[in-house]
Amino acid sequence: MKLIAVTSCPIGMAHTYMASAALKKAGEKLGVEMRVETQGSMGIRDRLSSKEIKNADLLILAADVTPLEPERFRNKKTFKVTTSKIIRNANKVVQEALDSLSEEN
Amino acid sequence: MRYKKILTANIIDLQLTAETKREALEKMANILYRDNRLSDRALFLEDVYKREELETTDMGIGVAIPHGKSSAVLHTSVAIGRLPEPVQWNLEDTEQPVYAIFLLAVSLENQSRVHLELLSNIASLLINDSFIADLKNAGSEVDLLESVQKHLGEII
Repeated sequence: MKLIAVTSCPIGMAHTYMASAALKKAGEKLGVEMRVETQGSMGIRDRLSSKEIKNADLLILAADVTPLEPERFRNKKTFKVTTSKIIRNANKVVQEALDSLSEEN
Repeated sequence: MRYKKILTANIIDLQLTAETKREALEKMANILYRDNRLSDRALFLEDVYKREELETTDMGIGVAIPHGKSSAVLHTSVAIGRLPEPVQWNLEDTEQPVYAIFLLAVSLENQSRVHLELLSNIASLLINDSFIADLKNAGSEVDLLESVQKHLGEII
């Protein structure tokens, strides 16, 4: 299973990067591939390539402010969530994201 | 203006006492002010409260990361406070009380990419179980600083 994620928050100092770290940790724990792009005070970092976006099963969009360059993710299956929820319990969020995929199939 | 590292043992307080969030933030702003990192305490706190109003910075894991980008900041810094008696961050919420506060102060003028990166790495540390153990158990301010350096490399 390949997941990609985008995280962002109003000032781009704390939530963006904590949520990114939490998602990576949860990905490891649950055995899913997890690539995270952060959109914070340093702009876009660890940018997702068009290939990565294309090959991903699902996008976890944790954008507390309007995401940058959203057109890249058009038509991508998306699971929306807040950065706070991820920081509090990333394992649960990733599990819910995975469940949302299996419900559709 | 003499250059200052973003984190030193001077701006860590492992014995922070406060009954409320406001008192905790005031004391931490004082720590930064005394270390000549702020030009104006009140203005800085105002900017921190503005950010708080957008959304709480209580991360729900016993740690809060209040932050202000402010013209009152002379040197981009992170002050760390550990509270022997945790405080309730928001009156209405049922989250666990906050036992540690990482107050990020970001200068509008002297904002280097390196500093921003360091701040973001410090925020990510709070997801790291081995750092959280050190945060809870550090016996001195220098010990905690050394743990940050162990995880992130030399602090500049």
